[in-house]
Amino acid sequence: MKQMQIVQAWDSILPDAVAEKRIQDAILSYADQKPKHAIRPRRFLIPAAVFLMLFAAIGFRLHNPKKLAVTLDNGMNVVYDANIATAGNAMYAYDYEIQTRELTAEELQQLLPCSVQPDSCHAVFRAETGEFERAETKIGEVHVHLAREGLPVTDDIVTGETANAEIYGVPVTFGFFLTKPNSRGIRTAVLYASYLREGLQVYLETGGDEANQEQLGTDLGNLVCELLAHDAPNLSEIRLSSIIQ
Amino acid sequence: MAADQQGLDIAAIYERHSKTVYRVCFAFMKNHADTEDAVQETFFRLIRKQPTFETPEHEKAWLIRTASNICKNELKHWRRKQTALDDQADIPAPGATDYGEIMDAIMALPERYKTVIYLYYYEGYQTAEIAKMLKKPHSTIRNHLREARLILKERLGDLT
Repeated sequence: MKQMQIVQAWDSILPDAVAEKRIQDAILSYADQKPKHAIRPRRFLIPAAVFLMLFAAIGFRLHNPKKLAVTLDNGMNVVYDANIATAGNAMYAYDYEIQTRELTAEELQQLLPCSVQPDSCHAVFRAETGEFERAETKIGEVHVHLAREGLPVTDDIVTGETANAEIYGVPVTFGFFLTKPNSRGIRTAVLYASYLREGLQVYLETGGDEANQEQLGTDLGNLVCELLAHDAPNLSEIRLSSIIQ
Repeated sequence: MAADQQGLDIAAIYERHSKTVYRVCFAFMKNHADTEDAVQETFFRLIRKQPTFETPEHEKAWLIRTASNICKNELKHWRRKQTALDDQADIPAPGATDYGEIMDAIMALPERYKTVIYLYYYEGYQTAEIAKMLKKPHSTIRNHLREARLILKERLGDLT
């Protein structure tokens, strides 16, 4: 009974006693450090607070550029635009049977022709017709989502139709955003690129420390160039039953 | 130490949900050291934000969603650092452990499937509840579960 085995497998995922105590102590200690009483703002503090907020807002805008420009190895300039990053939920709704199988290295290389071998991945196919539906993998540290045209390519980010670059004749959307700071004050830069070519949607996403965002942008842009320098994949060859060896 | 100043009983909440939060974080982080950090950050955020919970289920859902979001963000940092340190060598992170065939198969799933598998099979949530909790469309969660089952079936045999 595999379902029971899944439950049992999860049962084993627990911290050991020492770690458990360490986590609990850290959390309770953090709770103790918080101020014991809420501070009521005094009248004279309100204008000062408003001024500080305005100052902070200006500073925030100065430190949150809406565009990130990078120069790629081939000399091309690419601009990641924060204005086109729109968050939303994509809708997955198959009303037909699907099947999955692992793609061969050759198939992955056809879908993602680049010097770094993509991680292995399971692709989803339409069972009745054997058509490729979508797949998800990684190239180095870049997450890659592939989907047949017309299907949602990711769960969350909708990049829309606002391509802001053209590489080898293919319109490409480059976007980025910064997350809110975590408890250590570190913000994550998330950069993405997406394009549609010959019926295949490709969405690439990477992320890391805000301080490294230019390097991240350069690496991602170089990867897009490398992928687009090759011929477009022939999706009709990548089917459920016909395994390319 | 029990309740903090705004009334949230952190110790009691920790007692109620620490295992769930730990497992959700582990699904993303795959090792105990990073899971520990993510669990702490989840509860730190609870202490800082002081959300109001209508029911214990609401409380649990908030923690699961927050833990998932924290892990997703942390992974983006962690991957970059790990790559720099290991120079892409296939070295398991500290604390990575072999949990057997089933957990290995679950851990090899794409990130977004793992939480759904955990919440569905272990916590016993319905797909509609998971969708609400993770703020995703119901159809998306149903399809994640369907795809995850197909992959697990291929690797482990029938799940029913």
